[in-house]
Amino acid sequence: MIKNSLNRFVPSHPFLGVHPIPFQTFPILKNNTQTNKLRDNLTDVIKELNLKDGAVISFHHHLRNGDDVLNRVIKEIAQLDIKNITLVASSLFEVHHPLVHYLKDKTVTKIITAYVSGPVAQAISEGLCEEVCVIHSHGYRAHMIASKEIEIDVAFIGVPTSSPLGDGSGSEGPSACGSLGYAVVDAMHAKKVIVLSDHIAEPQHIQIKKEWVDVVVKVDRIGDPQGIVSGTTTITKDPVGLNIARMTLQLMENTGLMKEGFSFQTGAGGISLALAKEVYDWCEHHHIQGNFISGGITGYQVDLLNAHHFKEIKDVQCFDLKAVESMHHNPNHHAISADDYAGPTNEHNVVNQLDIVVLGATEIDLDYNVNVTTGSDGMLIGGSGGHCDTAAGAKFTIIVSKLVSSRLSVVVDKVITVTTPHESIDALVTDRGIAIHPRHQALIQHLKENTKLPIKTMEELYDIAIQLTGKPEPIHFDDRIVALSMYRDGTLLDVIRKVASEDFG
Amino acid sequence: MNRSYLFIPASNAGMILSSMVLDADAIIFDLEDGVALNQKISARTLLQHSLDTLDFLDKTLYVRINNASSDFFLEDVICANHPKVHGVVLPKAEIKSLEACLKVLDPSKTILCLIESALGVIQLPQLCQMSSQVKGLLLGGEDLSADCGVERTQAGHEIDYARKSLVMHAKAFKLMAIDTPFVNIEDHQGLREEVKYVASMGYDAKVAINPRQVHVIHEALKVDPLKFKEAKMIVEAFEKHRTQGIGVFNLNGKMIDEPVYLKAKHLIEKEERRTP
Amino acid sequence: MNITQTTQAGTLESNDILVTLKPNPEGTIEIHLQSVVLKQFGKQIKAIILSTLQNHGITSCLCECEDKGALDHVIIARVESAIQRQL
Repeated sequence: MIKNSLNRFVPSHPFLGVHPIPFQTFPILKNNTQTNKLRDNLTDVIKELNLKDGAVISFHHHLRNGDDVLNRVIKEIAQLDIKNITLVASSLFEVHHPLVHYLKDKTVTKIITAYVSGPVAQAISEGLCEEVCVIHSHGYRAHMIASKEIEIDVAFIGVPTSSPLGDGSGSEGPSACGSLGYAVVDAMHAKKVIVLSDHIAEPQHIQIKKEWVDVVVKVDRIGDPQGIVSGTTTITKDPVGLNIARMTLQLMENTGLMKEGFSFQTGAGGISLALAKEVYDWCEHHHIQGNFISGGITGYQVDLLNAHHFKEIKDVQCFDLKAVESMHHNPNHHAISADDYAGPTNEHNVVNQLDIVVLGATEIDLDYNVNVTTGSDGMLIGGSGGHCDTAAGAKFTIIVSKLVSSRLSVVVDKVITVTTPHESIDALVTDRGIAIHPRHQALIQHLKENTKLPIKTMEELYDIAIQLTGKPEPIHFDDRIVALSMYRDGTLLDVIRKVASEDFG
Repeated sequence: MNRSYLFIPASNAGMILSSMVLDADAIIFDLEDGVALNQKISARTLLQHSLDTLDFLDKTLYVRINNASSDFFLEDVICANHPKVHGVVLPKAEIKSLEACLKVLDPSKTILCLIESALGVIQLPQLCQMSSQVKGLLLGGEDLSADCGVERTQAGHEIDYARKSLVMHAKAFKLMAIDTPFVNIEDHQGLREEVKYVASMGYDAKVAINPRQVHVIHEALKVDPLKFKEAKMIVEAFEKHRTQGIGVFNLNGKMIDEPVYLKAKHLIEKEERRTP
Repeated sequence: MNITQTTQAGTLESNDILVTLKPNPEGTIEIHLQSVVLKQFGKQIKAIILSTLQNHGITSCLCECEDKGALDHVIIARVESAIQRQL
């Protein structure tokens, strides 16, 4: 084991700090000009792939918690008695619970993903996956696949509307999910690309190009529309969350970054959405137009676009129907690929152009390292997604959270797992105070003198929280490493260990 | 001076825990109508422990105790005698209930009389003068209209007399005038209009029954920045003239005298009320 | 004091705890705790429940608790209310 720059021990490739990542370009070699790609029997298609033990297959998560594709494909593969599959899924949700069974029977023995929640995450934490899993960022996934650092044998891509030749769109058809940003990279670079679609038609907006696609399989359904996108996403009604959003806006104003042409990203959590609404009112009041908003998109970002408060949306995934419809109809609402969004070696990636990003956290420690990978109980519950990508790219990165909820403090002595290193974090806004990283002394002074914002140190926030909650007992782990937390340059930030089972009766 | 008084049910552990980080200037922990009958004692136990343990920062804390004729009254007052509590909100404030309260409440504690009965309205002159502990009057429109057997409407004609009578008594006896809650918690526009309306007749503050109402109340109570600037000029000019022995003068074509000066001064004080 | 009947206090809302007291034929204090923060605070929560019971002179009961992240003062208040309801 080697100590990295965060004083965490990792088996290899230690993280050495946040440094500029050299830009690279990778050619797209695929050019399938066949004209007879359309099939209607998934079982036959998978049989004919002649997958070997140890094959690497990939999936995207745009169908979110309504996804049928991954479960169906793995089931078919298991029936062929193929073992030791490496699963490269951009994210895994609750809906993918059947995978637990296939981890146990060794159909799948390694998972490489940017985010994993629900039963699969729990199974990994409990040591049910034979090999060590990798939890990377959305951006590094794009690099890893494009650079062939990981070679995907077959990409199975659920596409809401596909032409018989494979031209595909995410925003049309009965299973419309909007942007297919995470699937594009797989389609460009996998050895074999199998599109699954429940709507065969010529799409209006093409995000997956036919020359990348080898086979198009017509299936009855790629997902449950109920789970794909929520009908509406709503702002938090929690007054504490609304207060945090208002304080965050005030902080943003005082960074000096909110001026004509600024760019901004916020997540889809309740506080983040409340903030999007605050930004709306702010732009209206100050007559300032931003350049773009990016990331995962909801109706609230669409409102910002429609009111011309921002010129453009750069959309890597849609969270609700309003976003899907906007992407389909509004020419300024662009679908972008994961590589264009966050690819660390992509010179034109969006995250590097961000002024402000606002993100959540499960834990943030006195050093400003952030954890969104494991829960306070040590169990795997998520992963970077775009967290460390946007935090690294943006000029100012703000974490928003309640300081204490259900006896858990977001501020901790040391995060259980580092997802995003301290170098990329600039501020934490909580209901009980705001901590600004000490590297921003001028800003701290400015805020203290010119605003009524409750500026505190991270230590002060920690003390306030511990006073309320008491000091939590340390979590016990087995020695066994079940997953690696990988930074966007491929180095290792941390390891995730198997959780020890304890009986509290 | 407090602009908003937020009711928090004393039975709700989570709401008590976050009460001090909300925008409200004052918190009223409710032991009365916000708590079910079979939860009254456990709510009080929870409130006592919360008061002992939590840091309520800069919030002014009140407890709305149960009616003086109820079984809970005495213990409620004892709970409200806690050092962190500023005072009580006395429901159904009438001469009798105020007398009962004064007997057991710590003399250092403030009383806000909740005027929510016809008799309470009629007894306003006495209530205002019975004790220096009475520092404010709070209108309870729902119970008052019920007591009068009339329908409660958003327009509020049915409480019009009480609302005006209350504010006049408050002014006469230098007490705080706090307006009745606005019950439609999703209608922020309606709330905003009502706050502006009662502020125009002299109310100092408004009760909030949902934390999201507080921000609206504060925004609505903000003084127009132009008026504020003008008031500053008037005060400055008046005080300068006064040192020269001049009590009446002309400022930009407007006659300034003592009443104009006092009004301007009052407006500045209002605006400079503490903000969160 | 003896626990002679089943009483309850608290709620299942977050930051609260639901405490149920029952007679225990074994004659000892037995605490069953479910908690969203069991790993982090399980021992502390059990200790605070036990000391609250003991402070009220209870030597025998079955105490079933479902905790949603209540702080210590809330736990004490809810246990006390459950005891008070025995009266």
